[in-house]
Amino acid sequence: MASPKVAVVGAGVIGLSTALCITETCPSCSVTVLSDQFSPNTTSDVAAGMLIPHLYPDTPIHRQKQWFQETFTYLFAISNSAEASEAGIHLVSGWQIFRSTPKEELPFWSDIVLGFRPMSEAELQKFPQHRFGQAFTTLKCDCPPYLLWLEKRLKATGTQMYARKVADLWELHREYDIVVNCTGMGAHQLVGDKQLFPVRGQVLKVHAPWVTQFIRDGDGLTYIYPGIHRVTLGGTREKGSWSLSPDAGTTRDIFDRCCSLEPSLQGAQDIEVKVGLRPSRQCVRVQREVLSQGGVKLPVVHNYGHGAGGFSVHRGTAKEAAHLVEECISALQGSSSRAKL
Amino acid sequence: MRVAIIGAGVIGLSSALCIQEQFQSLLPSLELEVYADHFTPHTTSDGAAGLWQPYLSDHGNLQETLWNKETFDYLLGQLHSPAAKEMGLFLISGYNLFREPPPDPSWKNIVLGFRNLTPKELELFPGYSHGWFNTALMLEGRSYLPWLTNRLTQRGVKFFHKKVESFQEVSGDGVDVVLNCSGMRSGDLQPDPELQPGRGQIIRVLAPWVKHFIITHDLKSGIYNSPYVIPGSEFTVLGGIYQHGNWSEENSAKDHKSIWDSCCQLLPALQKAKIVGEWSGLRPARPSVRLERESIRLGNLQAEVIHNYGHGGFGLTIHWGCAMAAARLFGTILQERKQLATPPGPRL
Repeated sequence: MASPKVAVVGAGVIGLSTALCITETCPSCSVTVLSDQFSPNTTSDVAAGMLIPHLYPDTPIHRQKQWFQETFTYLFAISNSAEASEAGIHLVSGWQIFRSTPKEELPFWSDIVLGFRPMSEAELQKFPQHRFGQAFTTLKCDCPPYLLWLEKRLKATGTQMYARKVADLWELHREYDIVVNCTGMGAHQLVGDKQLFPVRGQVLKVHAPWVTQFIRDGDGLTYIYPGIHRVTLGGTREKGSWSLSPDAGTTRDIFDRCCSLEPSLQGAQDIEVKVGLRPSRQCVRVQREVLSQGGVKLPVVHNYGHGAGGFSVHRGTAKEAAHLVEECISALQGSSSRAKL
Repeated sequence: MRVAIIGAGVIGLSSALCIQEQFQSLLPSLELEVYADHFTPHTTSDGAAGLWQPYLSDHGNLQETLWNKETFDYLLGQLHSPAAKEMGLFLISGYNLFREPPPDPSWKNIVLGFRNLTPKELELFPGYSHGWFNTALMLEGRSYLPWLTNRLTQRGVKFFHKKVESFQEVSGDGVDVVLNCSGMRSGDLQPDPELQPGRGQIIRVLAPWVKHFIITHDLKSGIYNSPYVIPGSEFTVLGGIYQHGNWSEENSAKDHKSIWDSCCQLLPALQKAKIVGEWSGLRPARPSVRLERESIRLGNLQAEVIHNYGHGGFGLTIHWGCAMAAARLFGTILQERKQLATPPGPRL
């Protein structure tokens, strides 16, 4: 197969990074990105993009750790380069605080982020309701800049991108040899995955440039993440809620919770409210399968279900998905050398 | 009782506020007057980035280390107050970088979370073999000075836009105590060969992705002669110039290039940063801060002068400790003049 035609469905951080990895591992592939939404209207654009992993109950820890390590290493190199500001990648230091000491004081990623250590007594004084904390430095991917930078890298490889709603993967079988499904929450409808469920998150994006430290409550519900131009205040984790409309009571509640951790936020300006549905699953689905219909086969690689941890593992899962695409190509070449065309 | 404060930088205004807070209620006749030829935003304090960080070594000057600590602790206590944002006060973390192993600084237990850098962190800074990470404070003069000015004005302190040429000029006519907070120009009021300019130049850029301060050190060439990057609330300051004895307040193209090249080498992404300003200022450098009383004779009158100048590149860092010390000296003067039966109560 001279130039396999690969369609990547989805243009959030998973779709774009997977498409980019495919162009890297398979330069002869012709890659096209199809999505009904592009930045700034994807779920990724709502997220703060902090590299603090989410724990997937059914994915082996070593695999999650590898995904995170690969992602961190990749972004660390960009943050250190002249492209950092264009790509929207920057280092940020801060604290994760707990009201009571967690069972696991050392998360699996503690040796991947920078300078991880327990907070000192003096530092904890800033948070009288919290008894334990961790201080570290990690990376943040600001969106839209990061997605736009990925789009730019893709265009440079000749990748085409089209706004198009794909209602059924079979729509694509005539034009493309392989389909990569990076549709996030869309996979619920597109491939009928009932194990995929939304976890609704509402956030505020505010102007508060004097806030340079992140603060995250270990319960994952309250957080303050300073980005390049705005600080993301969060949040909520509403399992099973499909509503994309901002809720005013929730806005007030998020603001109050964040101000109690960082009182200077009372002076924040230009409050923008956003909602995203985390495409959640017990384990991230990075898997290939061959769909079959009336004698026709369609190789599909899935890469979705990253829930609250998309940014943290995006590059690692993208690379894995790209390898699966390679396997699909080998399989196609194997069978085409046997079958008559 | 009239008190004249000469100088409206961070030292003058904070000294005035300290004295006002501690003695106004005990001494209703107290009248404070601030005289200066430059007010915010045209003072040296306004040009400084505003990072709380003393020099690497206090040269055994324990008093200055204590004043630094008093200032840090005071500011940390203010951090959660509603005034913090208006004061220009916020937390900031960052890096100090070295090409050879440095001795521990006098302030390692004052700041928060002080630690050595890990090997992976040092990968961010090729050419530097050692370093520190800690969380400190920013106190931006452009916000802090107006905040101090508002507090003083609300409490009836008067301001006079005037270049004072001599102590005599302000100390006649019923002024009993003069606070000399004239920074770099103290030598015009009373010659002091120990006071020398430590000229600095900075470039202001927009680089909002930089969330840490980065101060590099070249132990041989001395403090602030090596690139530094300090992010503030409105722009990021690039610097790395310290010229002892240079009185020029003009921006130098050569210094601009040196700052720009060295900072871009440190943080390549800065090449994309937009330059929004440039400034030169004179750090009022002295082997140690001059904070002491002096009696000045004017004919048959005697005035007390409290000197509080020579804070070099650490004025914001040390200001509150010095203001409290100046207020204590003032209290002693009041006692001697039987204005007060006993010293004032606990320090505010």
